[in-house]
Amino acid sequence: MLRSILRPNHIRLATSARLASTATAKPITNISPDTPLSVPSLRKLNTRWNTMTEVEKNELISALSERQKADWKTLTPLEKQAAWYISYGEWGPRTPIHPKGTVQKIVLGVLTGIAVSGLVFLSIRAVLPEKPKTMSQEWQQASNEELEKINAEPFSGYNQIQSPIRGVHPSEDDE
Amino acid sequence: MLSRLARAQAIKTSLRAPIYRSSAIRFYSDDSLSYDEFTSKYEKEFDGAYDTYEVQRILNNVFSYDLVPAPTVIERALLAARRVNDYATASRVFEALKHKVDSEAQYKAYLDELKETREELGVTLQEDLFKEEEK
Repeated sequence: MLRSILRPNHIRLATSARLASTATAKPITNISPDTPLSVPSLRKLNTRWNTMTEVEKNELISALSERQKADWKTLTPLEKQAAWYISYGEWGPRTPIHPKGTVQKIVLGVLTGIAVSGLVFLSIRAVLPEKPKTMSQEWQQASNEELEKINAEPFSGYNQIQSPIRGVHPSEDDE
Repeated sequence: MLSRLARAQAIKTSLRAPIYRSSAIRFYSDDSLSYDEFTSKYEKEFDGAYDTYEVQRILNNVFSYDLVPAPTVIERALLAARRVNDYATASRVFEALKHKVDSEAQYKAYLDELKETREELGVTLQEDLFKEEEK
């Protein structure tokens, strides 16, 4: 930290490194227990760790382990976070099977599916032509009357009514 | 009358005793530890831990019993982590403790008990360390 304050050039480098999203950390040169590691080499480690090369990782690990030989009270929060992340963070075998936000994603997907299918259903219903006139309840009842008049089909009946209103049709009800 | 009764009682117990004893003898090794034995055993193990792997292995063992290790054991674990210069493991001990205890109150009691050691070593709790990041 102190070094970066003393050297404005270093600050500029650090800020530009922080601004660039794909910035690769500068090689760690200060490997001594008493010098804190530079901020850009530790910042947002959890987003960078998987894209870092083996060499960079090993460099950081050895620098951090060197740092941990000093009094832990002198460690910066960033160094503590980095040390914790490297040891126990969610990478490698500790990568969660269902990353954060999976539940929301699933719920959203299901709801979208239902909404889309409802929309398709309604739009098909909207563009459908009207039912043929023989499908109306009146027409079918009239057909029944006509058939009754000529005494058609005495054996199996001649009910012409299709899709009765819910339940047993009045004409088929024995009671 | 009374002496006869006593004799009968004696015979009864003498009859019962060998049967009882033979049924009590089980031919398996009983290596269960009392809490104090457990504590002293793991204190000694942590004192003898010489590298990070060893500390983590003992931690794994000590936290896999159906009990929460005594604060003295935790303290030795922290000191062992300090000795092998592994900050993350020291912080991890508290996480394990948090999972192991029954209630938040018990965790707090442990934290109060271990406060001195923790501050002396400069161990930040994991939940405090990543607090500002989550917000």
